Amino acid sequence: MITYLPVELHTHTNHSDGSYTVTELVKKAKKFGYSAIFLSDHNTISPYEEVINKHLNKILPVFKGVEWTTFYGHMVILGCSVMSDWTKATKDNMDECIAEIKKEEDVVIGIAHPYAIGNPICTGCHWEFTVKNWDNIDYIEIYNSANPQDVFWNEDAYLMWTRKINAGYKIACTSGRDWHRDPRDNDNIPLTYLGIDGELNQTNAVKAIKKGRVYTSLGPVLDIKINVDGNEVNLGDTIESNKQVDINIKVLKPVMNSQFDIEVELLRFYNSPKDFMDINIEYDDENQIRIVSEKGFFRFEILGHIKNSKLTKLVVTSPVYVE
Amino acid sequence: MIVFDNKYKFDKKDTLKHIVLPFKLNEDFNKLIINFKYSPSITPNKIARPIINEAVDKYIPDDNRFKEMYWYIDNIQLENLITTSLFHDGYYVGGWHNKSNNQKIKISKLYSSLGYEKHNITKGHYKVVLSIHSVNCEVESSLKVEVI
Repeated sequence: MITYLPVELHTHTNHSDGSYTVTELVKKAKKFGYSAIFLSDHNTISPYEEVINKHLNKILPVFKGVEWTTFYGHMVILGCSVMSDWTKATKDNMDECIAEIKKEEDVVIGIAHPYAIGNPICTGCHWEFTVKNWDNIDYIEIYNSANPQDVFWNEDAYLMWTRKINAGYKIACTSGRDWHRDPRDNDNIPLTYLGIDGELNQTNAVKAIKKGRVYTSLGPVLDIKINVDGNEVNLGDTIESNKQVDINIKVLKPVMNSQFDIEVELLRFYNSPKDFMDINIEYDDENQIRIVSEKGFFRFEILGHIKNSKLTKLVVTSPVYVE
Repeated sequence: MIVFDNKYKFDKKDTLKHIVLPFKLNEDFNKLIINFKYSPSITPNKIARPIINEAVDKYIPDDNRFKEMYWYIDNIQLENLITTSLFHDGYYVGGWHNKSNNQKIKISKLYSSLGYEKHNITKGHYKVVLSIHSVNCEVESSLKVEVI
């Protein structure tokens, strides 16, 4: 059975430029309400040694990762036990670098904040790599940083992701807190929910991303059931076309970010890259959709209001693909 | 034993370069120490301002420019950023991606500084890499590597 749990994929400690020790980060993550976190320091996997030596997994599950912080882009690798040579990355060889990384280990690869301000203000923060094979990219951060609804580069990241899935690539959408330090009092934090099958461990968390069982949220929690011919289907799955699909979707009040007044207004159902329908919703409503699957994908967004942002994307799910 | 103790001058044309400094150890040692300093860490405002303006034009879309531009022009400092990494026989021992411009790094079997794995300093081929992420003015630096 798939359970969606909040897992932070993008964190930093003092092993790179984060403010926290590893212990502080893990304790703060537990307090914030995450079910687990990945460590993703810049260009090092050294923090994980502290997790082991100090038994920090007893506080909260902590998984391995790294953020390749290169001159031409930041790439998060989750599930890695070794750190490969990031210095050899050039604008044109990212496919070869990724192939080498994936040959060694069963990892997932994500593009962090692809449209952030880049060189020389933040070197490599803007994605400039030429990627020839987008099948090698497992996810794109469509929401990065605190208050992501106000961060201008996130809309471009979302559009990048939609261009790729519209082109037929199976790429999950995630958030990345890019957690370096304490938030300010009024900062809302983007969340990534991973659909975990079984025990929450690194293997299953990586598998959830690889399979696209992911949605990103500014707070609201989804209860979503998709049924095709009597079979349960999950986000990220691939189904056949011309099948009757029954969808039951309920939006629950935020558990995290609950201190903010977050109002839901619309369920936006994309039945294809361009076509969508809007359904007015409230929290806890049962919303039922029945469609006949068409080649492409279908996916969901919840639009609503948070702080000064009106009718913004509160939730974006990864697609269910139709072949 | 001092492996090398050098001074370097970098400027804008060195940005986005990796300076690779190979060396060989013919015997095992207990510890390797890297002392790396550079200055200034912040580009002087007179030099930084046009660079920041150019980046704002390049990266901030027109319809957001009004809201974002003034924050960047008024608040941002243009940092010079150079980081260190160490390789041993092709193995990446680590690197400290941090804005500290005065780094004292120790690496040994029992203890290593932040960013670096604990590592046995055995004989073999090493390289220290200075990664010049962003240098926007004249920067003077010094790098000393020693083994004990």
